[in-house]
Amino acid sequence: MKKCKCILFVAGFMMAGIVNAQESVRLTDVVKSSGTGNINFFKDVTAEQLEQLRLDNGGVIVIGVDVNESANGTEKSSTQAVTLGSLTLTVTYSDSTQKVYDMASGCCTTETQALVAEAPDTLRLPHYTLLGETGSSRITASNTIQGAFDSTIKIQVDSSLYDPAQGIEATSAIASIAWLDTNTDLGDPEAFYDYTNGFEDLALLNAVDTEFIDDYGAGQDEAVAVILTNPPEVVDPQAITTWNYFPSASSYYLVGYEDLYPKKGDYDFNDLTVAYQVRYGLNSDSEVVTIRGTAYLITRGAGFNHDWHLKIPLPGNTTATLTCTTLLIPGDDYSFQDCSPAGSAFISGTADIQVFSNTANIFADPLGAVQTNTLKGQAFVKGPKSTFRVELDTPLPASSIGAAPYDPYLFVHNSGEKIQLLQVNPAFKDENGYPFGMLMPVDWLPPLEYFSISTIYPLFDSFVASEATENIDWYNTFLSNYVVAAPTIDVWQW
Amino acid sequence: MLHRLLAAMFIVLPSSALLAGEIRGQVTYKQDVLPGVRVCLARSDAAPGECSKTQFTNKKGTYSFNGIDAGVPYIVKVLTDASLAARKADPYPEYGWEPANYEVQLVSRKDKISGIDFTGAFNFSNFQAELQLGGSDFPELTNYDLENDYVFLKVYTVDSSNTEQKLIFLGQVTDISKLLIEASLPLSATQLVYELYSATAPQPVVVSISLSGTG
Repeated sequence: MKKCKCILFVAGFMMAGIVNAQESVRLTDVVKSSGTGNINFFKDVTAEQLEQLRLDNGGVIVIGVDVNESANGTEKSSTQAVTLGSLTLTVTYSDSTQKVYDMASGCCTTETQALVAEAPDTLRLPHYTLLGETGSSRITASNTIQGAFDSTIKIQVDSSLYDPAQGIEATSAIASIAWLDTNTDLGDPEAFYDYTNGFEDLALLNAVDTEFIDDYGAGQDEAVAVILTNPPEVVDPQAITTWNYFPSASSYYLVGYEDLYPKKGDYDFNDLTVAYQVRYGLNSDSEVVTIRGTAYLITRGAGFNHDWHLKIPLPGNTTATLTCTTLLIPGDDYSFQDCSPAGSAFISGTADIQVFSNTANIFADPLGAVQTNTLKGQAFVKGPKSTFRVELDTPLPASSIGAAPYDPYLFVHNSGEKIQLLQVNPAFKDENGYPFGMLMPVDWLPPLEYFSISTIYPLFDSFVASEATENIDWYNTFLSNYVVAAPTIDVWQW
Repeated sequence: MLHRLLAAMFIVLPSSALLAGEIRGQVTYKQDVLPGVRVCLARSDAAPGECSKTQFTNKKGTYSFNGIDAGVPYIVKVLTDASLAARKADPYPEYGWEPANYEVQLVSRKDKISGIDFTGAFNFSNFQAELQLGGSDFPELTNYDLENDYVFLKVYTVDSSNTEQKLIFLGQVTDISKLLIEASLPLSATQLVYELYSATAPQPVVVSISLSGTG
């Protein structure tokens, strides 16, 4: 009986050992907004715990990084990055000896690299990078560490940190980390791989969490100019290596409509104003594997209700998965609508994406006005944002996809009319040849309600009469008291 | 073997009789005929931008397609060649075409269909027609070892009134022959800039391309 109790005790101890396998630990110290941090591991773990984590990762101390950058240009919530400039881990032992692990000596790696220039230089040299994202709920994450942390730094530590039998015990372990000050004057990739926002949270990771975070690759597929530290031996034809942006990574098409078609109406082109951007994810053969886009509602100067579509012509035998989400309130990821195709995300042939539905409902003036963002004195309201993805089953050459800006069309519930751009369908014009939908540059500001575009923009008629040979920047000259107040990109983009 | 060859000849010979099938039309703008407009004949199930045949209108603004298969649905449309060289030569970059296209199907191989006409009109867009750039548009790429080096290409525009780079493409190039970049630029964009750099040649090579004449 006594023997049996002993066995149970041993089994219980072993089970406790399994259950209490060292979990990842969020660290108190962070990399500050200045881009530097002195990270004292022993504020949060003991030498024994740190040694367990090191052994769990095969002799590597793994630091998880929660990348936290401003959404600007190519950096956005779905992808952002910092560059590792320097890292030194100093371990002090109970016998006062020290071991120093320095990135310059090759101790440390991350999963990705990029060729970037350090300020103020222009030489683009290889540096380790850390990629991430914000605002994404990782449904496959099994704990908060996996749900929050984006990238890993691996420090090869070849000596034990804790071994009582050998009289070894680290008394201090401090990592000095500095992000690289990239030369953002050069634009991208330096602007993408800079550090701009608040602090980066850190964690010491066990092997399970390290594997999850590395496999998840947060922000990796939308990042620019990525070099994989450990590239796969066989190239995946569906893997994204490059992005092609329309009209660019930092700007949008603005499309404005008159929704009374076939009647001309007040011609203020603010009945619905939508900003949209599209990007192709290309594989290593420059074929398109995914089409992604982002769109914002800017104004709704209408009593009518609409749906806004973006139709992207694809070869007839194309099959793909289309997903679309409309976020209704800035900063609130839980107020959203699914704008994916009804019933199934599977599409065949041309992608006709109903990006915004029921504009009168999803973009109403908070004070109850009929119009939103088009009345004089009306406070500007940030409109809903939609993001969509067309994941192609088979890569396509870009030339087989209809040309940008595609077919952005308005469906008017009240009249049943579909209104297209003149360049897509020349039928949508009045008796003088004027259109009911126009594609504007991103700098264009919609006129206030009831004011014709010709009145508010005095060079517009000359632009039209000359057929775009004169005053192509007509939108830079306007009566400032008669345009919607401050709907600039930094105001409506979120 | 001779038997097979004769059989093949019998299959080929009748198809030459299909040359009688013809589609023709004219392209105008207001009262003027438009020469040099590219007209595309495509099967109705073809990918966007894919043509079975193309013809440029002559001095009278007319075009014709011969040898059209009967019983096959086609689309006839005006199509602008999106390559940089073709775009610079395009005399009507800001025109839209009405109608957008015709759906045509010959009932008989002897059919001749005329009146497939297009009228040009200003398209009111503040953006240029889409531009396609291939490996030959970046001749400096041949100076790099694409197979063994990490070679990156960055393409962007800068407006005359705004120095902010508008990034169109940034990525690694591994095969010049497969490189294809598309650009949709505002009318105000007059320069396209590209940079090339690599792990072994880290100083970027910066080149500007004039878009004059691309509309």
